[in-house]
Amino acid sequence: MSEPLVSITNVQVQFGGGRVRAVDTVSLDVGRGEVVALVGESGCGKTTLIRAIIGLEPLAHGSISVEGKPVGSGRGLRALRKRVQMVFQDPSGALNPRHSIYEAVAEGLRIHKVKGHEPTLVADALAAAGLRPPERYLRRFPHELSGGQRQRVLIAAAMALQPALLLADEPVASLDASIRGEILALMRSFVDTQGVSIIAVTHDLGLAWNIADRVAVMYLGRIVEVGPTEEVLRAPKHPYTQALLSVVPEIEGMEQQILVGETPDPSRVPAGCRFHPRCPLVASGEADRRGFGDKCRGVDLELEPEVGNHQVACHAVALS
Amino acid sequence: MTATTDEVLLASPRSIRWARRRASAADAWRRLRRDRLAMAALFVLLGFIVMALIAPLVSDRADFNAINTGDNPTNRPPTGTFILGTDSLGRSVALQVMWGARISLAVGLAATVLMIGIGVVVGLAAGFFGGWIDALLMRITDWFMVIPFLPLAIVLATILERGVGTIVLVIGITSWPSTARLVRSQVLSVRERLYVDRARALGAGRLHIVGRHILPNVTPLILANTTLAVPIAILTETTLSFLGLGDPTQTSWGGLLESAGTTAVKAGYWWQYLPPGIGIVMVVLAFTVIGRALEEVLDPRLRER
Amino acid sequence: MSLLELRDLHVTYHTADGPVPAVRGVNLSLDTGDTVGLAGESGCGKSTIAGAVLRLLPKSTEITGQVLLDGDDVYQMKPGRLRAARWTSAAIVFQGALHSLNPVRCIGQQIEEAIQLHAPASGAMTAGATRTRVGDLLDRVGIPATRAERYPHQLSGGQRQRVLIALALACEPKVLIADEPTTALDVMVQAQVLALLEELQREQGLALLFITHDLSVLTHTCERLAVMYAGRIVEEGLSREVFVTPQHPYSRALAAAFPTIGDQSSRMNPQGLAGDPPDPSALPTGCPFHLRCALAVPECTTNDVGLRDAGDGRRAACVHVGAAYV
Repeated sequence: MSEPLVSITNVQVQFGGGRVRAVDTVSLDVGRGEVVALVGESGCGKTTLIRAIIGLEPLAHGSISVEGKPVGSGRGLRALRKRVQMVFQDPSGALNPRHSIYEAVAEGLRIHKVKGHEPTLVADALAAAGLRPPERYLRRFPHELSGGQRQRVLIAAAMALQPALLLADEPVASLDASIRGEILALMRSFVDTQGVSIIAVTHDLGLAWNIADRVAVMYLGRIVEVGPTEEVLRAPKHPYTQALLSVVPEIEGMEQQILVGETPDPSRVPAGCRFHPRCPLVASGEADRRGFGDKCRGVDLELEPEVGNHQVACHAVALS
Repeated sequence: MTATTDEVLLASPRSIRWARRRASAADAWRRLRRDRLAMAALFVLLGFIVMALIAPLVSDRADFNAINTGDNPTNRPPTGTFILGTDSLGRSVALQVMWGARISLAVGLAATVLMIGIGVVVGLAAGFFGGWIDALLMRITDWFMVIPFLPLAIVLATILERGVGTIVLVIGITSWPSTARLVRSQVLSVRERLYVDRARALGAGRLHIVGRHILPNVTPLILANTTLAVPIAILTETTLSFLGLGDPTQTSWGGLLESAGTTAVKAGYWWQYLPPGIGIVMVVLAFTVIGRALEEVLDPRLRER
Repeated sequence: MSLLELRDLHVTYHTADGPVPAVRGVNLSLDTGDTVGLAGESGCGKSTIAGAVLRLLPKSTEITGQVLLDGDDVYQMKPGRLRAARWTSAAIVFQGALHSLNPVRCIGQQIEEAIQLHAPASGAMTAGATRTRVGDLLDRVGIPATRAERYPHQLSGGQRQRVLIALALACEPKVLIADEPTTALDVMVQAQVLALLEELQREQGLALLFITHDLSVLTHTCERLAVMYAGRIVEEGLSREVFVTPQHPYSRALAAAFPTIGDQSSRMNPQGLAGDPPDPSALPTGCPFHLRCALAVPECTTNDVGLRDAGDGRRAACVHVGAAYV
């Protein structure tokens, strides 16, 4: 197996002077041309993690390296921000309303002083993102375009720099349902044609099913399950993943397990397994019956290597 | 599919920027034109500016020397050659009003430039850098804000040479805090916008972010604020001159009011205090109306989505 | 007699840029205990319908057709009767709870306000009785009554949505309109809120009109379903059937937009529609969907076909329906 493109090792990101452990020891590798979906609910740290990859959040512990080079600061950071591009959740907010579409796409090219004829590069990027003919869009402004078109502009601007890694933060959450597929197909097409890797942050498991090779499920700052998409979504092993899947409206044949309580607060991470207060196995007493109840309440744990690449952080799984 | 030729693509990115700027300026002008009151105000203002500019062409400083003849036409009401009458020294009030306009407008503008200049730099730095720089600059701003205006003016006028420059300095130093706070709050709000985050993620340095994202979104506000600051400066200058702190060698409207004093009111020499008074009111009103119209024209466009 | 009935409803907004037809001839009816879903994307007119029922649309809006609430046309009601009908006959649970709640009043007060505004003429409830009722309502939606003193920003998204539901139920309406109540929520919280809605609907025999863009949510919560596009209903029928065997090409696309997890056909195969949802102020000629439709025929550019019988209580507005096609 060749060197991974991105290596995240024991990363911790904290806010409020250590009070809030947004990302609490996460390790993940992403290979070239691979699409990884980072799923979880709000507050699980998935957005913080990808912001850390691009250097927008400082690391409290651990390290991240992209193409072998660590994510640091200064000049290295600027070079990194050419190889790693981000697509934001809100296409309207992410575009400066006073800049034309041309300027929005050209901005990155100018910052990194990319060689080549700028108008051609811009037009090619827009065309590759599905905005054809590109000339029609160059002089327009964001408020003249639809949500889907704005997202395409953002994707065009990101891909114009020919990055090795694309970080997508809820890329289709704010778009209409019928446009969703088109944007996802576009992203997938870039993987096939340009070999770009994608880390897609989302709460939408269907998105993972649509485009991801692997899925990593996060809960309260930690990855609790990771593996190939088919395995994780068809045969989830972690109780949280199972519950999450069971309540997705688009799932068939699973009995709904609605968890009690709210998505917890990253400033108050429970002791032991962080999921234990909401875990159906603990709540129903089964954990105690099978003898690992105390472990769930008392012992914190990380991902255990399992069969293939499917890893789970759960006492129940580890002890079976 | 590669792009077609440059001619189709427009000559250059620069031309796009300029074409867009021209278009938005034309659009702003069109919208301003619709505001009848603003147009009237603009007309009035232009009138005063023209008057100020032609003053040296229609008269001479020598005309202000007191005429010491026995036949002193002092305190004459408007007649014949003296369209606005004469003052207590026999000088033409009309000419003094014209020359006074020069001082009032010039001081108003210069003081505004100084005030906006300091205010924008402080506001930008405080808003953009945050942290201790922000705290330090805001404390300095607070300090300047609480300095009582008149005592400072009097002190400065006493220490420094009495002159137009001093007045500009006094006004500028005491008025920049409000601009600084305005600019700072706008910078703070723009700084949090998602497109600034995106620029940072793209690898933009501070200069790029300030120049391409923050300033363009702050400039309309500054422009509107400037237009409203000029009348304030003019009024301040008038006050200072009226109190006798102005330049004694120059005529200004405030000075005219001072020399008219209560005598003119008691004696009923309305031509000595009404013209400068009305002049001040009209100029200040004109600027205020234009300033408000500009604010309306420029601001909603920022919210356009 | 239906609790809520829309008869040939047309709603046209009058904006600075001209008239915008948001709803173009919608017929819908709800009886006690009915659960009807209204599916569609932005600009299709579904939120306009929610506003139209309680006459919450801007004054300049042109409305033709009838909105019958308990048999009375809402647009013929006198102001007094209208005020009495609002919230007691029908209530709306809005989307975006953070913006629908007054940020400077605690949630208990906001629910009290709704109750007091509709106090019966025979004598307002005492302060104590009102507070008890508020406590009961909050309890019913799963929020501890002690939280009544909290402000909206102190609650989580899911809790705020529950407060909105409690608010909607404050005056015991017979019709509940839920406008995208779970769109901004996490999946688990969404499931909780949906379960709550289902429970309340069953318990109180409410007629529920559920508006959303997520077709699969509707199949679980609603018995019947209507799909809207460009101000018209383009398909209606039993929700399960519409989802599994859609007759209209748009319904098919909407159903495919959120893939069924585990279904191999959608694995690595995201499905979408080219183009954008139509702009109500600039609708295409003929069938508004024809520009994005894979099955369009020349007739579609001129014929804005109405709903046609597709058998078994199903209707779809497509030229291919009611005729044999592959």
